Amino acid sequence: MVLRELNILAKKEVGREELRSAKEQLKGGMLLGLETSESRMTKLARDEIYFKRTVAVEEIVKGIDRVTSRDIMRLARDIFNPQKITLVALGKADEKSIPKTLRFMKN
Amino acid sequence: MPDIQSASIGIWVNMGSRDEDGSRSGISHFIEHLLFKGTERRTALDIAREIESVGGALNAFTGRENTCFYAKVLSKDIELAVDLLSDIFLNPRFDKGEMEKERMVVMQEIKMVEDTPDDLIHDLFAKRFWKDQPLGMPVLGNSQTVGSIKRSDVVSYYKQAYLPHAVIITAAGNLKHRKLLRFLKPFERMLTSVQNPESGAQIKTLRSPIPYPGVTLEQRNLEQVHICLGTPSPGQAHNDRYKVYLLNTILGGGMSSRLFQEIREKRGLAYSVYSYLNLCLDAGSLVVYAGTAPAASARLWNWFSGN
Repeated sequence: MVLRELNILAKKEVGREELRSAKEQLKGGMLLGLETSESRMTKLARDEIYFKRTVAVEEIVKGIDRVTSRDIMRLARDIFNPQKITLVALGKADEKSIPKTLRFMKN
Repeated sequence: MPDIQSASIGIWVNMGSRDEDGSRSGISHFIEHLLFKGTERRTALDIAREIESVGGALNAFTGRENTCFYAKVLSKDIELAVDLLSDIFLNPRFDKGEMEKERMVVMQEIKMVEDTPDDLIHDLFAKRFWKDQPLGMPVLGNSQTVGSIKRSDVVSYYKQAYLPHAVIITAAGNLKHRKLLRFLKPFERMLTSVQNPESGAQIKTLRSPIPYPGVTLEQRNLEQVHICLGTPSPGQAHNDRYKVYLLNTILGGGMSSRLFQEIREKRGLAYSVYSYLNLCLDAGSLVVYAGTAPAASARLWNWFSGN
């Protein structure tokens, strides 16, 4: 089922409303997260580590807003390739319950 | 941030479990713990008392690519926070007795994770995904490696890793830049004590990690089956990062996400189901987690096979 969801994302563009709402969720979460001094301190460090500069919040907002449904589908198609999937299960894991598409890779 | 009362300051070291060789797995995290165990002029108890006597917090965390020591205090106490932080960071004693006790503490931390399947599964996933590579090793290390780290290993690793050009200091909150710089004076000594800063910079050479697709089943007598399914994703510094964030949000970020709706809300197959990103500088993974009943796990997978 998980795989099915991944597959759908790779085959069908996300609807306008779902994309809009995901963008607002992401931006709102980030802005709310930046209200404490420790999260600001952390952001300054991570910016320096990953980008060697301070990345303005406005830049991130714009970057998120620019993403299109097509971008998401293309990315999903790229990364949800059954050949590239890693599956780990912990517990009373039944070998037979693994989808046939993944079973050949067991090692 | 002039409207708030707090100030946070962090010292970041550009080193983490990714930089360890297999036999020293967990040494970055062990050192992180040891820095709290006393300095030339403070005992471990002094350190704890001083920060808590102003209601502040002093803590640290070790990641795959970096280690951070930080303090959060009321802005009026920032001088104390910086003094404490710089002392533990620059003058650790690495006392032999304290080290042996802390080794036992870390061993218990490792056992705790082993007894927490919804935590352990993510370590197992990383181990399989980045097979036989430093990125796949748990940040905590394992009982064997942590059990065999010697004091001399700790001291030489500390000297090699905690170098000025591998350190970033950041602060935010209600504070003034100039004043803060004055408090940070002890670090100047550290900067000038290194004669040849370039030599240290070369210790860090990243090898691009290679993900390993495939299936691993870890049998355990548990009520639930914990499942992680993931694929390679562009890294944190990649131009596609915003696309990755959005894909993750739509797939499994929160209660309105597709996975939560399909698996939990529509079918009741799991209590906990979500996706997450584990991104490092040059690589990463997008991972789906679900904890389900053994009988339902087949349903979870077979949906796809029949599709």
